[in-house]
Amino acid sequence: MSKRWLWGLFAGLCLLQWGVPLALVQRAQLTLEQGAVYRFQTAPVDPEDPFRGRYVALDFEAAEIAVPAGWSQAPGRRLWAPIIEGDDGYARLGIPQQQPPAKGDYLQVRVQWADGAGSVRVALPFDRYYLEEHRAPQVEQQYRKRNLSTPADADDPRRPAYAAVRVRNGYALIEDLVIDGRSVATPSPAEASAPP
Amino acid sequence: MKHATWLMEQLPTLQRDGVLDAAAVERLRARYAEDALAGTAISGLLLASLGAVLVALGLILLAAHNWEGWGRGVRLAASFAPLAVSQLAVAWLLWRPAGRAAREAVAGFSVLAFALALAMVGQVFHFPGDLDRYLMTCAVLSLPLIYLLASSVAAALYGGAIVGAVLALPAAAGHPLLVAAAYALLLPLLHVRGQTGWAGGRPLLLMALVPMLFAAVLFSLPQVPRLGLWWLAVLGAALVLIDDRQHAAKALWRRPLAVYGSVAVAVAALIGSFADIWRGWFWHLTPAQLPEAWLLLGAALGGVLWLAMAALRRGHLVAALHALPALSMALVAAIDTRSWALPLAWMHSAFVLLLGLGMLREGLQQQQWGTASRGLLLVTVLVLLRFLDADWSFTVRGVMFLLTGAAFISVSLWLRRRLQA
Repeated sequence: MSKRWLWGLFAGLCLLQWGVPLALVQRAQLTLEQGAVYRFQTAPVDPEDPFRGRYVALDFEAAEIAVPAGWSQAPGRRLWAPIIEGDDGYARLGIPQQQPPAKGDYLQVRVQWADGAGSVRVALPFDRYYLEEHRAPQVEQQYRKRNLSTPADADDPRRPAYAAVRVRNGYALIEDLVIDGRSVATPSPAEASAPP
Repeated sequence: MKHATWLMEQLPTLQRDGVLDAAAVERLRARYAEDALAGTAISGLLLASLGAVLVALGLILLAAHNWEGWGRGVRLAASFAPLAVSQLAVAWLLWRPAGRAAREAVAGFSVLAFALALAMVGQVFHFPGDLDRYLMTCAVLSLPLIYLLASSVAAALYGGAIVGAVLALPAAAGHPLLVAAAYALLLPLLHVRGQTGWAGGRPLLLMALVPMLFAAVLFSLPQVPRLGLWWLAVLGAALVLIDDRQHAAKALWRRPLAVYGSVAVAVAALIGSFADIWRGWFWHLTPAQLPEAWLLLGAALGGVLWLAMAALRRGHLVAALHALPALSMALVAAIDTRSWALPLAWMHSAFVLLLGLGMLREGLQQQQWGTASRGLLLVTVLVLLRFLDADWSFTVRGVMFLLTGAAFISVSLWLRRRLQA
């Protein structure tokens, strides 16, 4: 390869290496600034990612959607699910469709399984909240402890936890994770004093 | 290489003691110096590459701590800093070309610096766990670097990222043709490495890439064991036949294609020599994926048969024999083999025996102790497997093992004597 080609290839590489992450940053920033906020009920557990660090994995109730009996789609299929806000203030998902709905906000979801008997499980485009190395296990432990000591009520003993999600043009990002009324971004005095 | 280095060290002593004259010393130095230097160069290369990769991995782990005390902007800037440094280093190498160790180290660091930047953007904005897309993006953007710096380290990271991406994909979402095409993009680099000799590192690169290619295609195939076995047989045969075509008269450890290929064919045929394999494996078809799998395996089989014919025309019977398991597995791939299980198992046993005896004969004819031993080893493994397979008592099996072991030692001694004679 001649020098000119090498420098051309290098310029293209630099453009791509900066362009790809910066495009992701721009889209995320726009979503956080302009997206509508929805609250999705969730329960946190604490695993880790080999590249991105420790996070609380989120198991959303909205990931299981009621569909008509006989409704079926192949696992792995990408579909669009409309967001419906319930009377309790929490968001749920409508029946996934082949195309984005013409009106209202929606999410792109990936089918995990459909039992054909009125229920489909989907993977949501947000499933984790990254925290500092020692904070993620603390958050999960605090959540469990509070559940054991003071159940929310007899019907559902779990303390309420939800993710505040910003949605813009089908693209969604978690803005905050709130457990028992407190944002995990600001540690409670008990969490702050707990040993790592 | 180790012997060449030793010889270089001994030459002054041999000359001083009068064992060799100055002219002989010079001739030996001219003959073996390149080999000795190649060893040192490869060691330096590996150390420099490993160092750069470890530094980059250290940075990834530091960033993975997730410094919450820093604001979003500061964390993003910190994650992009290694990328900027790596690009400056690449530009410097383009401006003032340096040795291969520097190129490999910079390329490895650069691939991982981009992976770090992308990972940190995901961390800062809580992106979902789409590891397949993440690794595929890292792989695609490492391609220009591979050719920009002619880097084997970047190529190995590219191959590894593709395996990871395929493993992270949901079941039934793999594309074996695309995966094979992704590895085919490295062929020009292998060609360049071939032109620069052993020190160019082609065997090292192949040692890393061949298992990755096998694993990535295997995991992207529909989860039908028989297809996996066929892929093992057809890839193994292709490797052996490609190596045979190059007329490589080098030591076996310098020929990773021959080593991987013959092991793959032997393992596939030995698995096929168990009747239960053909009785108990059923098809779990995923129609969307299957045509692509058939196309890839069919094309590979076509290539293998063409190479086998060419080997036959050159009189290389043993190399051509390696194509047989791939052919037999292709012929029965789509049919219910439960009633054919025993004949199929016998057929594969017969093939292993034939291949073992063929290698033994070739080793004796060409006076190659290694080839003859491998043939003998293959026959012995086959015999041992049949003992395990048979419904005999421990005593009978014990006696048979003793007899086989004694026969193996005797034949091996006889072979060695005959070859030495």
